[in-house]
Amino acid sequence: MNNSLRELRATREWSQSDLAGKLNVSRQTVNAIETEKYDPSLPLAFKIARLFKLPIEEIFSER
Amino acid sequence: MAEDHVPSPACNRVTTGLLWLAAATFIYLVSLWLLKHHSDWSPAARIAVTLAPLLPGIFYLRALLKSFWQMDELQRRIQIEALGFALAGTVIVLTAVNVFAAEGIRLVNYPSGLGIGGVYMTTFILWSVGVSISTFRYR
Repeated sequence: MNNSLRELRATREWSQSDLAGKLNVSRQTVNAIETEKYDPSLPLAFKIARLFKLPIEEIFSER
Repeated sequence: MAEDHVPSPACNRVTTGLLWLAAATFIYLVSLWLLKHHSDWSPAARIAVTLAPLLPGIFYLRALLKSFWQMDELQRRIQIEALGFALAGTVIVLTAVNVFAAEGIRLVNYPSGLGIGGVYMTTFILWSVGVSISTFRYR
């Protein structure tokens, strides 16, 4: 699954640790999602969408 | 500037778990010594001493399970993959060693198959390898 998490994080000038803290996950999880090695669960994807105030499909898309 | 490191709840649970494991090991060693040097004790007392390490052992398992449920989803997936790897690997190693023993092919240190200590050690080693592989995959 593709995602634009890195770009969204960059526009807010957050570090991976900042984002991990806001999502209550580890920095490794944020990095794995950004590098598209790991697809987040649906609850975490909703949490990310709520944090960036965007619909899920604008952040995550099928390859 | 270095960031302040605040241990996660899962990390604290692991530390608590290790303390309970240390307590269980210590009580186990004391109980072995007591059973060896007090063979005149009543059967009830000997059973109580034998079972004494189980109590900290139960607290160890409780801490371990709590730490598992406090991990974030990626950490939990890494642990599940590592446990699956360790389980499958232990079955394969155990089967191979026992087949060798049944066929009369004696392995140097395990003439009659892996004992329970060997099984624990194999599982632990394979779990460590599994954690390393999964951590590397999601790096």
